[in-house]
Amino acid sequence: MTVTVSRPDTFSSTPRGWEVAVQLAKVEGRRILLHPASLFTLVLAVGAMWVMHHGEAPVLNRAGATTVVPLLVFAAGVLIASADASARLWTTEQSEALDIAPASARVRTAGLVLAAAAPVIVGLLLQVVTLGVLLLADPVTTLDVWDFLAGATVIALAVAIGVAVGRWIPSRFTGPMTLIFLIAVVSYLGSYGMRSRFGDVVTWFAPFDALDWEPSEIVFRPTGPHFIYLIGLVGVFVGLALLRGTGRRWGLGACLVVSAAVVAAGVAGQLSAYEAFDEQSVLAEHMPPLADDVCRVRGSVEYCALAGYEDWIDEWAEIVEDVLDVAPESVAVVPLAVRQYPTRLMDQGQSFTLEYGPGLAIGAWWNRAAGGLTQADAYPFGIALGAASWAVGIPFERIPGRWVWEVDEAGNRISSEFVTGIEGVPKDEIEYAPYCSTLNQGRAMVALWMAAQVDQRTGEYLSNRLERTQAPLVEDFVDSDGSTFPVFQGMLEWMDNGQYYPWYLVLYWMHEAYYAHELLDRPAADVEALIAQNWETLTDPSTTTAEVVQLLGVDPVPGLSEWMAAHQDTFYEPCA
Amino acid sequence: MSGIVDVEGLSLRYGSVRALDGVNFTLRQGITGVLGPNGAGKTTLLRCLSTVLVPDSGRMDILGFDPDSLTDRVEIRRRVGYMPQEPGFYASFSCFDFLDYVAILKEHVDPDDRHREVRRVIEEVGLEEKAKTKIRKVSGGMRRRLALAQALIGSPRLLLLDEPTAGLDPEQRFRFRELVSELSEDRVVLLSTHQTEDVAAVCDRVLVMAGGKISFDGPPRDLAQLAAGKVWLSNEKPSAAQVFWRTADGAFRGVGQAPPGSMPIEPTIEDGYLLLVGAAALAEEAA
Repeated sequence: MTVTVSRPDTFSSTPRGWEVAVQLAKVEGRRILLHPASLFTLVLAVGAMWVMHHGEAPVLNRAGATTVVPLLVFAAGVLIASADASARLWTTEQSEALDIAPASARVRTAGLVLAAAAPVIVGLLLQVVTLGVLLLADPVTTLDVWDFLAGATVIALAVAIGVAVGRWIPSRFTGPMTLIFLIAVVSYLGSYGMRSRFGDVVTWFAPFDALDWEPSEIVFRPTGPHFIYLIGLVGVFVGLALLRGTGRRWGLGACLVVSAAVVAAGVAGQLSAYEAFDEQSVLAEHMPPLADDVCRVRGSVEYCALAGYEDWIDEWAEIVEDVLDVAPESVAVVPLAVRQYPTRLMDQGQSFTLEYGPGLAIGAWWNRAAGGLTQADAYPFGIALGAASWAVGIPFERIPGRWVWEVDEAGNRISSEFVTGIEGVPKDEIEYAPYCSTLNQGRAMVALWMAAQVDQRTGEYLSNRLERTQAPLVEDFVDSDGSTFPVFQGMLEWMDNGQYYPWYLVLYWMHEAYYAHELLDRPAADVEALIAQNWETLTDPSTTTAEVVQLLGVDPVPGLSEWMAAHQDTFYEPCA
Repeated sequence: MSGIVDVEGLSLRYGSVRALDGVNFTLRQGITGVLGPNGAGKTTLLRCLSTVLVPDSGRMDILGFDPDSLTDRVEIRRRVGYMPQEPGFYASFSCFDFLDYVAILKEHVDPDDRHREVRRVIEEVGLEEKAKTKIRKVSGGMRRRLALAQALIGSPRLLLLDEPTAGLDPEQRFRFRELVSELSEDRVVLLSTHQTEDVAAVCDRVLVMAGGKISFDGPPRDLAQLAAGKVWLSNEKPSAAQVFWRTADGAFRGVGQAPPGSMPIEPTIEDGYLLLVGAAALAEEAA
């Protein structure tokens, strides 16, 4: 052992408390970041960022899903790490030597609170990188700065909560138990019961309203007051953490009062914003014609986008043009309108489409995979099918008189005439909206092929939908007990609604989709030539699917008896 | 009294147990050993001096500061290095990180200077090879060195070491003695221990505590001299002696009233201590 004799008196000058706190914050910040809970949730957050934005049209102002939701995951890990750090500093098993170190309890707590800077910076970096990637992809809308700041503030709040609970209840279980409690509170605030009782504003008393994923130009979000609310909460929890210390407390009490006032101001701001919010007025502002809409004409098609969404017009046009390239010149020159509507408006029912006339409607949620919850391929397929159906003459709008709403004792029901036409439609869907059926219309098969042939996405979407419908496909009917009923006749499973609204009123069926998919296996040029030669016949509403199948030379699906014979070994269970 | 540490009438009770009972002493530069059986009040005394505990009564002047004053207490803490009997560690920290952390709590705010100081104390206790090892992976002896290292941060003027050699092997104890003797050149070291050899080897003064009181205060040789004429060797097993045991060559070595036919020998500090605290304390320690 080498003994060094030189030992200067290092306490000749006394450092200020904040200098110690800063040094402590550097160490604790690094340890919070390297805590297994932080590292694990950071990986999850990065993964969530990627999943939420991969393969979909970039939107800047959807902060709820853009950056803050993944950061909530990271914040959860940071909360556990912070509570651990705080509990470590104050647990009774710690060394007496550390107890009597000259740094005061308040300085130590302040150091832990300042350590929030490290995870906050990491969170900001993650947000900036995500936004940078989005910016490179020509995103639509503009960034809501308050939402952006809320992401970092949520992490700071997690540290403040973690330090406070660890300071008052120093135990290794404090962090996880606090997290479970917070998740329960947030879930409760977002529950249907709470929303129906107090309104949507209650969800904003959680750290972040993760349920609201729609663009903020349309759906009201009090992001500014919410940011103030979060800042106040950070102050309150920092104050609570520092409260358990020694020395004078009047200054701390003042800080707590100010923080509580900021929280109250944030709450009041959120409440008053909700009270002043008139959803119908906001929606009306987005109803076409809207002066702020950006409309561009390409060929015979006029595309109108909501303000801020105009960069999507090129993507819509590319799909529509690929569809119309298949149609004869006479069709391609007929004017068509493609108009974007607020998604919320489209969810409210079909009335606006009737009021504003036919056309292809696209939602503000276009090409949104929403973290893989929906299939992004549905959106290009929806536009393509809309354009294709328009090209083959399938009506855009509800035809007056064809379906009639009847009101009986049981409530709103549609007429028996309509029910007969769409026997396979579930009752709850019948009650939702009237439909136009393309069952056994050959032009539906042509339209489905025109949509599916646009690109790989649309082709795969049709394939996936067919695969998801598991029922076997047969052509004929079976008699049982003297009655006749359709066997395994199913409609094509619903595409994600809201993106091609007029076509939500149109039913497409399995047979036509199956035959369209069969055509995809052939060279597109060959099919295109056949369709061009027989366009008039193929698009005649009276031309049946069987006739089109014969005309285009597609192998028909087997009859039921034939199918049953082919599957006899597995279809029947021998009687014992 | 005008020492670096002055203690007058220091008393402290744990419930009905009187841990310190009117303790008086003065410390000056050098190494002072504190001997005593379990429960004698050694650790309580060190905890009071380190400001971990506040005594019930009495007065302390530590390095010119009054620990009753909040401000002075902080000043004392800035100048005291305390190695507790059972140091708590953050097991997930490396040795270096833990010492760095302690250094921050000891208000070393300049990172370069702080790291230099941490490396210095690591070198002093011979922990260089384990500096980056997690504390949970180092041996008990290494942890004692680590505990000593944290006490040395900042070169405190008063070092309070509670059982510093417990669990150390003979070589480590030798190194420890070397280190403490070096440290005592310019500071006050108060060393609480059960190891009379350590006291004999490095201390220039010894306090013997029993029942919360100081029963002896003087140089080690004086402690040994308490047993002068009362330490003997006998070939016969004695019938009455305070303490005796059979030595390796078969003779009986005892402390107390010499039996007939025994041969007086030179007493050691341990003999003086044993004579002072009595056989009962010895039995308690042996248990």
